[in-house]
Order: sequence, then structure tokens, then C-alpha cells
Amino acid sequence: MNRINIDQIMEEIYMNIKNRQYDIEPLSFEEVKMCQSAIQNLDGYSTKDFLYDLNYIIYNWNIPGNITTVTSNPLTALVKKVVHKLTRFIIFPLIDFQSSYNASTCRCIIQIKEYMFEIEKYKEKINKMEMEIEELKSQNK
Amino acid sequence: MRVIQLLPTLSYGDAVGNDTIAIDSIIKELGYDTKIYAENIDHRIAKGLVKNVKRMPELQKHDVVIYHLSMGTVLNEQLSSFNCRKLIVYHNITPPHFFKGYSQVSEVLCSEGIKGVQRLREVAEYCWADSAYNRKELLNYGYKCNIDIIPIVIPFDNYAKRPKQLIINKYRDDYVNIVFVGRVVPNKKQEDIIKTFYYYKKYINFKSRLFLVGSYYGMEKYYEKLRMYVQELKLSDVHFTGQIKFNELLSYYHLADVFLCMSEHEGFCIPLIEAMYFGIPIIAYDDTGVRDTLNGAGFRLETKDCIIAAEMIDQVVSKKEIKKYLIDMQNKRLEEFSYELTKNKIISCLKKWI
Repeated sequence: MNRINIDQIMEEIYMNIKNRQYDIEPLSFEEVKMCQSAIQNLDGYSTKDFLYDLNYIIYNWNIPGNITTVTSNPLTALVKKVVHKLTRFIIFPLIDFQSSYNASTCRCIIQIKEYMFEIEKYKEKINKMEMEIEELKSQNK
Repeated sequence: MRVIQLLPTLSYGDAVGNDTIAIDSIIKELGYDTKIYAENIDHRIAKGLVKNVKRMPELQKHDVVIYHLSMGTVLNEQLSSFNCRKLIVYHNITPPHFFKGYSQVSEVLCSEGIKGVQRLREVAEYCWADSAYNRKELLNYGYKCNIDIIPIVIPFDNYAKRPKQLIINKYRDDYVNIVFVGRVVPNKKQEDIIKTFYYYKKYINFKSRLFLVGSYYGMEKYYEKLRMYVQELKLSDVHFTGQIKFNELLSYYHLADVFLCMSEHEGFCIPLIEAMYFGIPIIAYDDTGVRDTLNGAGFRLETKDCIIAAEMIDQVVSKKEIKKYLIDMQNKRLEEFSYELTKNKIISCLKKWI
């Protein structure tokens, strides 16, 4: 294994940095303003993004009611348990309602996906037929 | 005597999951009665391999629990109540401050996880740490028991599988492909990778692209901010793959000219080993677990400087002798993570302790 001279490489790097005249700070990540909604940040249709999000929805439509609260303090754990028990008569129906709403939305989107893919198939068929028509037309000429 | 492996979540294909399954087969080879129990089990895991923790039998004094510690979970509390011998495998917990403003759930889980690690110092009879960095963390938390360093068992055979040719065909051209593999999470500092790429593309080589390979589930806010950052910098050719299939992951490794890691917190960082396996020169910020995993291999950044990192990419891409030297060093380091070596270490440590 031939050794390389790191010092020499670093020297060259510093020299290049000097010559290239970099912006010191183009824009820091901290300066980037968070988008209010992920939806605003969509730039056109992408099948990949659509399937990615759909996959997430399919696996997460059901909101679990029994999320375990992790806490180290036994007193906090007890308080959380009591609050959980006292509020479940309000929270659980809401969770059920939201979950069934999510399930319906999820099913609708799956239907849309199936419909979209069906359209894609027809599009392919139409393209193929159009090409065949063109071919027949040119043969008849 | 039974040997029980216990962990909160056994996910398909992730580092801790693979490690647990590999350890399970090693323990079986040793002839012990062993089983894996988890709170959450990925549906893709082979049926019967892992059981729900609720079905765990009552443990006896001479039984052994190998507990994989990597997050905040109620298991951290329950472990102390088990009347058996306890071995903790510490995979590290990300400091919660990284998640501030991005994911409150992760922030709380990591914060509780760290408290759990601190409390378990009284419970652990013996520990394994993936890296020297993880070992040092346990010592800082006041662990007094013996702590051995055992790297994660890596399924190298899987990497020989066929990559997805479609991706390779699409991107194999005269562009320089810079790749990072890892979940889109704030501690991995994908923004620094983007900034480095900005400098490289703008000032050094326009014909370049960046692949950020990894899932962003649960980190949508951070992901959106990264995308905004790319837009604000007016950068083209930045690809977020999201969660992908294994053969697709292999394609990106096949395409990579450079593996760039700017992570500020890693317990081990398996993608570095994967990059070594695929003969990709690594440029990495030399900190936390990355330092141990590389142990002198790769082109290492001592300070976080994206301009220097961009220049390093140029050196690696344009000078064959540098690339060759880095790959030779990485291959040498890779040998130390061979399945046989890790397996032998696990066997000798287990036998010594049991």
C-alpha cells in the first residue's frame, strides 16, 4: 500500500480554497423557514411520492388508543395513568371516530390509485392502437 | 438455563434487528435454549423467530437476559424487576436536543432512554458496547460492570445480492455520484451534506449529483426543511430516495463515487461498513461512533467544514492514487468486522460470562 502525504493534500486543498473564492456562507440551514404545510411544498405529480405517502397512510390509519407513556418518575407515571383513565371516555370515542375517518380516506385513496393505474393501462393500450392505426394507414397508402 | 434476548422493536433489516437475529443463531450454535422477545415485531420478520414480550416466560435466577438498549421504553423499567442475570447490549441513544423542533415524540423517547441507561447501571451485570464511543458513554453514566466492545454483526452475504439494474442504468454516466445512506434524522446532519454538495457542484464540478438514501418516516418536518434548503440554494440533482427496497439500496452503493458522512452522532454507523464493502472511498466527519468504526480509515474531517469536505471530494474523485489508498485502508479495516471475528468474540465473551 503506497502511503499518501496527507499534509501535502491538505496544503493543496487550502490553496484551492483560496483560488476558488468560495462564498463563506451561502445560506445557513437555520435560516430556512419551515414550510407551514408539507402540501405547499409539492412540486408537481410524482408517482413515487404518491406511493410513498400512500404506503405511510396504509400502515398508520389506525390510531392506537393505548400508547404507552414512557416516564422515569414513578409519581409522574401514576399521574399519567390516572389522567389516561379519567380522560379515556372522551378520548377513545374521538380516536375511534378519527380512525374510521382515516380508514375511509385511506380506502378512497387506494381506489384512486387503482383507478389511476387502470387509466395508465388504457393509455398504453390507446398508444399501442394508435401506432397500429398509423402503421396500417401507411401500409394502405 | 435459558438465554433470552429482549428488545423494544425488532424491525426488518435494521442494524439492531440484524444483530439480534445473528446473536440468536450464534447462541443456538452454542447449544443454549434461546428465544427473542420484543414489544413490537415487524410483520416481515419470519414467523416464530420472535415472540411478543407479553408471552415471555417467568425467568429464573440462572436464566440470562440479553437486553438491547437503544431507546426509551417501559422495558428499561421492567428489566430491573427480572430475577435473572442481565447483560446489556448498548447500541447508543441519540441525544434528544437533536430532535428539538422536529419531533417531540423522538425527543421524549431519547430523553427517557438516556434516563433509562443511567438507571440501569445498577442493574447491568455485564455490558457489550458496539463501539469504544458507546463504551465510554456507559462509563460516563457510571457503569461499574465489565464492558466489552463487540461490533454489530453484519450480514455481508446480503450485499452480494443483485442490485436493481434500472437505477444503475439511469444514473451511470459521467456524473460524480455522492451518496449518503441513513435515516433522514437531524443528528445525521443531512443539511451539511447538502451544503458540501452545493460547494462541490457550484465551484468544482457541475456534473455531480447527490443521493440521500433513507427513510424520513416520523421526521417529515426535518425532511421538508431539507427540501426547502435545496430549493433555496437553487441546487439541482439532489435526490431523496425515501425508504427503498434492499436491491435498490445496493444500486446506490454500486453507483457511488464517494460516500459522504457529516453525522454528528452515531453509535456505530453500519453504512460506513457497507461503503467499505463496496469499495467506495469515504469522506466523513470524524466524531462519535464514526471515529471508532473508521479507526483511521477513510478521509476524515477533523472539523466541520463543508468547503474542505467539497475539496476532499475533488481530491478523491480526481486523483486515482488517493482513491486507491483510501480503499486499501478501508479494506484493511473491513477485515476487522468479518462475521467470523465478531462471532468468535461473541462466543468467547458469552462463555466467559455465562
